[in-house]
Amino acid sequence: MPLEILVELPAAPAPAPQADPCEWFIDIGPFFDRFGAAKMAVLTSTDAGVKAIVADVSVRKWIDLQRADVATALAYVGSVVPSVTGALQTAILTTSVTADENMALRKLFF
Amino acid sequence: MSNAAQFFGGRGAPRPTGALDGTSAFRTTQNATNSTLSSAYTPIKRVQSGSTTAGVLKTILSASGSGVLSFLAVESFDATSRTHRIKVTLDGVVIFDATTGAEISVVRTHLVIGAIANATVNAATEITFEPLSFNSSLLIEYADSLTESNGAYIAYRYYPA
Repeated sequence: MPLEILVELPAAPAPAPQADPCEWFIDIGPFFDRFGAAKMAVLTSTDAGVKAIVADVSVRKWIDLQRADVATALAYVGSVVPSVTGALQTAILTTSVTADENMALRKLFF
Repeated sequence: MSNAAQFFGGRGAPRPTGALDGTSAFRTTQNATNSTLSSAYTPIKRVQSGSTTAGVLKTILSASGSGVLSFLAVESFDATSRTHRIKVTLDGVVIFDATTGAEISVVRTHLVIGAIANATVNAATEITFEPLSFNSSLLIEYADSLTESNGAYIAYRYYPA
């Protein structure tokens, strides 16, 4: 017996695109990797401020690249470690986070 | 003779003649942050409940003929406290009639037929594993505990058979 629809409500409107809460979140390891050739200079720095920033970053679950204090911390690191130039700081903060760079935090926390 | 016919005696998928699991009860799953039935991940047809009168059943889907119903669930549209009642009648037999508790979550899905995979993460998606066949009629009704508009999403999947 053929199916005949007698009453059916119209389909709901398509949902609005949902913002990705992780868009600018980066895992800790990939964050350090973004320093490229300057990474080891940062990690081996004996400056107390740089060491404190590295320690602070290391205890986080992820880094939010849009946080103001992240930019401030990078600026301080750049003032101590010459290879962390202004251009590098900008690249670290504004390069889109790839799927490989936040895979861990997405799987663990989102 | 098909494999299905070997198990079901050639009469196709069994048709329920009474309530699912002997009693009508929702299975509830909760997403982390996103509504499942209203999200972009939904491969199932979604409708909004439209104008409702508190406690009064309204028809969501009425069909005559033969077919299969393989997924049915309901979810709140917003955090306003309300209850959801779903009633399903196949071939004149009421196989499900239950009401949720007071619901204030928009990420909790109440399932009648089918399941949700990855229900606790944003990529939750519906799966169907329990096709219910009907020969002459299908009626899905919904009642909101509130008099309002579009208080719920109802999602379902059916096809002629």
